[in-house]
Parts: sequence; C-alpha cells; structure tokens
Amino acid sequence: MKYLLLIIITSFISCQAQTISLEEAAQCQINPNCPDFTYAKDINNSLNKYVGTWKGTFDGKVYEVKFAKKEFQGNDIKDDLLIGRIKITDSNNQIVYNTFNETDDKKTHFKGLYFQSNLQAYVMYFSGPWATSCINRGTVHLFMNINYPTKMSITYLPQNDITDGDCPSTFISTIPEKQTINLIKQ
Amino acid sequence: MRKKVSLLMLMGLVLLLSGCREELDYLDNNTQNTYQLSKDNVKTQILQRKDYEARSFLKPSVDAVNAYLKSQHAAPVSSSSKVSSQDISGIALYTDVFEEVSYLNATYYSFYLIGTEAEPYEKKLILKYTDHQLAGKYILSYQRLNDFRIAPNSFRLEKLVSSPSSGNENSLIMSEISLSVGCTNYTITTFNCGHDGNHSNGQFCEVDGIRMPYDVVSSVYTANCQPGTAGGTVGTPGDGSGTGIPTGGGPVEGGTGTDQTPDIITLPTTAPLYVIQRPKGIICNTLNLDPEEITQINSNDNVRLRIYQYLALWGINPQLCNGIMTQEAEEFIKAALAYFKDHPNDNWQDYYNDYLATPCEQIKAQRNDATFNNNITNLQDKTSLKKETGYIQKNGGDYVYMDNANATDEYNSLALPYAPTNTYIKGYMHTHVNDYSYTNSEGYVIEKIGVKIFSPSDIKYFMQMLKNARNNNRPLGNVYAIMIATMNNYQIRFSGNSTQIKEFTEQQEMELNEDFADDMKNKKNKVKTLELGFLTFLEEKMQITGVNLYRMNSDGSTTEIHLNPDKTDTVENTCPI
Repeated sequence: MKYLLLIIITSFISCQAQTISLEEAAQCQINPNCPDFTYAKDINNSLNKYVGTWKGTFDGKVYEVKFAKKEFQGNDIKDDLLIGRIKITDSNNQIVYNTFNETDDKKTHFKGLYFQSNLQAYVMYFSGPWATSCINRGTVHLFMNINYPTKMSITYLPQNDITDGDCPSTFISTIPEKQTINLIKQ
Repeated sequence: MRKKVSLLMLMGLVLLLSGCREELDYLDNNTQNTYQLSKDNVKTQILQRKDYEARSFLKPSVDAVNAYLKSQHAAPVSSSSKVSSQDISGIALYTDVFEEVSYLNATYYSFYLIGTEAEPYEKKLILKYTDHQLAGKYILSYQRLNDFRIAPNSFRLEKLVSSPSSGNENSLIMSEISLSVGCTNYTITTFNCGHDGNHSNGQFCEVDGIRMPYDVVSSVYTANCQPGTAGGTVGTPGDGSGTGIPTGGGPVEGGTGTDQTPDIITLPTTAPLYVIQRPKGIICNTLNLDPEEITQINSNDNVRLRIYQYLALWGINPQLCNGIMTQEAEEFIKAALAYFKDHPNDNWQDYYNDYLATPCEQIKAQRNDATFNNNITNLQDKTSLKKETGYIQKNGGDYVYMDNANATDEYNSLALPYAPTNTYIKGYMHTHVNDYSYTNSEGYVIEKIGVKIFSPSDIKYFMQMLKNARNNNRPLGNVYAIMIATMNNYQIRFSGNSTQIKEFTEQQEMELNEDFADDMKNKKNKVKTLELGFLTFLEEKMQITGVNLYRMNSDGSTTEIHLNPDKTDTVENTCPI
C-alpha cells in the first residue's frame, strides 16, 4: 500500500513536471537549461485576452484579425496557442487578402508560437501568398497593454532565410514589415 | 631472421615503388653501363589494336613467339567458342593493348601473355628494337600476390633466341636470367609530375604541361662484377651463338658491355590484365565488360588496379570465371570507366575525390584548404551583423561572396543565385545571425530569435544544387551546404543516389517553413535537441533520405550526426582526422 502511494505520488509529480505554463516555456527561447516538457499549457489564461476579432487601419488598408485559442498537438509537444485569420481590404474597398472563411485551422497560415521571453509579446508565425525569390513569411508580434484590454498592436518581421534568387524591388509583403499596426477589439 | 629479411625486402620494394624521382641516375662504383632514364628521354605509350596493325614489323616476331608458346602449352581448342581459334587455342600474346617505350635509339614493345594455365607467374613479351632492328626478345615473368602487388624478387627474365642448330629461325631456345641474379639488376623508375610526390603514370601533368611517362622496369648490367658474388644462380648457359646469354657476367647483347640501352624497359604491371580468353578456349567475361571497355580497362594500369582493389572489397575476383558479380559492382566499374573515357587526363585520385570520397573525407579536404577556412572565419565574424551573408562556390572551385548590401536590420535574408538557371554552383556557406532585439515605435522590445540549423529553404536550395549536378553529370558528393552560427557550424552532404533528390513546390516550401517554425520553437537553444529535431524533420516532414548532417567543431574535428534506428535520439561518429 505504501509503495502504491509512492508510485501514485511520483507519477503525479512526473506528469506535472512535463506540463509547464506558457510563461515558463517562453524562457526556453533563451535558456538552454529549461526543463523538458510535453505540454505548454495556458495555465494562467494568458491567451484569452487576444481571443476575438480586432480591427485597425494602416497606410490606407483595413486590417481585420481574428484569434481563437486552440490546443495543438505538435510533433512531440502539445501547446495551447492562438490560431489567427486575417482580412485585408485596400483603400478601394477591395479585399487583398482574406483567410476569415478558412475553416481548417491548418490552412490559415497564421499560428501561435510562444510568448517572447520578456513576456511583452505573443509571437505567431504568418505566411502570406508565396512570392518567388521573396520572403512573405515571418513572425507577427502581438503587443497588449494590460491597462487597455481593447487595444492591441501588431508588428510583422520577415523570417531570416535564404532566397532562391533576388526578390524584385516591386515586392510588397502581405503585412507591412516592421510597422506597428494598431487594432481595436470589435 | 627470415621474417626480418622479408620485412627488409618489403620495405625495399615499397621504397622503390614510392620513390618519386625526376631522374634516375643508376650508377655505382661497380656499374659500367649507366642509364639515365628521365621523363625527357623515355617516352612511353599505351597502344591498341590499330597501332599494332600499323606497326606491321611487329607481326612476324609476335607470330613466331605465338607459335612457340602454343607449341609449349599445346592447349586444346574449344569448338563452342565464338572467337577465332587463334585467340582461344591456349596461350597467346595480347595485341589489343600493348606498350611502347622509347629510349635513345631503342624501342621496346611489351605484349602480355594471356590464356595461360593457372600458374603463379604473369608473363609479358618484350621486343627490343635498336635502330629499328630487332635486337632481342625477352619474356618477363613475375609473381602476383593476392593484393595485386608483385612479389619481391619474383622477376624473371627469359631471353628468347633463335636456334642455329635447328636451322629454323622460328625455332626458339629459351634461357633465363633471374632479376636478382648474376650481374644484371632490374629497377623500377617512376617519374614525378611535381604534384606533392604523386606518381603520374601516363597522366597529364599540368605543372609541366606534358603527359607523364609510365613507370619503367629497366635492367642494368654490372660489367665488372663477379658471377656468383651477387647471389643466386646464373642464367642458363648460352646457345652457342654468343648472342645474348649472359654467362659469367658477360653482356647481354653481343658481349660488348658498352650497350647504351638496357635489355628491357617495360612498364611494371600494377594489376593483371582483364582478359576473357581463358585457358583451354574458355571465354568468360566476369565483369560483363564490352570490347571497348575491356580495351579501356587494359589500357590504364592504375585504373585497373584500383577497380580490382574495390572489387576485392566486395569479394569479387575478376580473374575467376565463377566469380559472382553484383549490380553495385558492375555499376561501379562502368561508372569509373565512363568517367575516365570522359576525363582522359584525370587520375584515380581525381575520380576518387569526386565520386568515391566519403563526406568525412570531403569535409576533411575542405577544412585543410586555406581559402575555405578563411571564408569560414570571415563568416564567423559576421554572425553579429543583423543580416545574413555567405559565399557560393562554383564547380570550378572559385568562391563568390554574396554581397548582401541591400539587406536591412529587418529584412536581412540572403539572396543566392536563382538555382534552376544558375547551375554552376556546387555549394554554399551562409550565416544564421545571432539573436538580437530592438524596440519598436511604441517602446516594445521585439526579440528576434533564429533557428541555428538549416531551414527548409536551405534544404530546398541544397536539393536544387543536387538536381543541377545530376542533370549535368557532376558528382553528387561534391554538393554541400554550410550554416555558420555562434552556437555551431553545420554542413550537409549527400550520400544517396540520384533518385533520392527531392523537389518541392512553393506551396510545400511554405508549409514546411511553417511546420519547421513550430517544430523547432522549443529546441533552439539545446544543441542535441536541435540536431535531433532537425534530422527528424528532414526525414519525416521533408521525407528526405541520403542527406547527412555534420557538426564542424571549433577544434577542427568533424562529427557526423544521424538518427538512431528507432529515431528517438542521435548517434554521433567522429570523422577520422
């Protein structure tokens, strides 16, 4: 009986050790000694504040962004993360990019990765339409001030990578690079 | 004691074979005749059937010796053979490939004897012509060891002379002179192209701009030595004509002792000829070579030896009729012969470097190259920049720095030449920049943390280079990609076959990059976890096999990293230094 209790307690501790918070997992971005884990769980509900539809304007275009919180089983680690959808409308009211109607979460090409280690931003990976020899993919950083829960700003940085050929100077990324786009919760 | 003598003999042969000399001045106090064999005065050629037919003066002697040899061996003729009875009636001189060596006013022609019964000695006929007159017929024999080396002290030289007593000029009397016997010594001369001591048998020497002579076996007669003092026995007593049997230390030709040229100069055989005519009329083509390939393999001693050595590793003996050939071995032989047909000026080392060297050997050669190391160092110094930089290497070997002048802190990717149309690239090396951060217009700090191992786009470019190599018949093993980062430097190489080269659509590349970002997000800072994650991604997500990962350690060593059998961990092997 004593041994059974020990096994149960050990198993419980072990299981608990493999589940860490998103905030703890964030430290793994910079700390090589972070613990092994199998589930990065949103224990503190840190993602909840992003969930919903957001809207803002930048450089004549309207950006509508919708986030949903999902549990995602990766190759070896399970995450709680955001799945995003974007609709971009230009000044002529033409929709230039839209994944709002994409029902398959895997095909929105906008998926959460982790919190920055400084916890100032949640980082998502975004891929726009492929442009040969160019990089139209990278990270979108979501910033929120806890005092203004209906406001959010996003900044997109293209991925560092090689390109197969020179990207033409006429290329424009789907989300403008390095710019701050302010959004209001709808 | 016997062991010691054997060892000394072996060392002597090794020294003899490995000694590269511009010129051999074979002279000692006891030597009357001095032959200065050099690459300038010895001309060697490997000739083929058409050359034999053009040199009609050879035919009578060859026919005469053939007749003599057949009478000596008297082999039965196979009725089922498809080749002429002359070729299969047992022993014969092989005239499809033969050698011509010119030295001063003498010319030596060497023909291999084929179709001999299994015996420990290989033989070749050497016809010596002085001032275009036949001056001697010799049969050189030597014993072949299992590793294809010639047994030390196994050379025998037999002089064939006409018998005046028979009145028949084609009637031959055989006598023998042992290599290490009496007053005649034989030596092997090798010529050096100037490339780090490499021998250059018949290969084109870029340094001198000439085709190098082959190694030669030459005899040197010591005129004033006393018979018996040099050890061994003296050759068979003379034929009474006084024309060539060196008894008692007499000169080989006419007893003048002043001959300006050796009895024989011939190329030492490095590997047995590949012949399909076997004793008793049996035809067997163990290696499945066509006539052109047979001529080719027999025309290049060094290539033949190397091929035989590789076959030996597979347990295949080309000399045996019942040898079992594998498809792998057959493809290997045909690929090697095709290469040398296309690259007649290359030597085996060139072929080895391009097609046979292991990735570890390839990387070792790279890391011994000053330009390569300078470029690596240069890139290591640039990982702190907020833009990627790199070099491409052309197939010819030149490196080109990829000027990334248009890069910015935010858009710091590296544009490599568009691979589908720029097929001249065999490798590239590039940086993955250090992690950095900056503050945006609202005062938020953005952390830019990269993955310090090859991305799917890196791999896709690597695959495109492989595809270019395949389409242009260039060696796949020469293609490489290198990633330089503060954490580690990595290199990938391909050891698969051309069917394992994958192509990816743009849609696939996009999705792979998304998956990669997700898979690697928690592995960036743990070396072993990152390597395991990368290899797993490569195999399972990209479904690529045949690509090997190497960590180029800072101490100069290189570590090969691959997945364990159940793909739960990595296994490391240190490349031989």
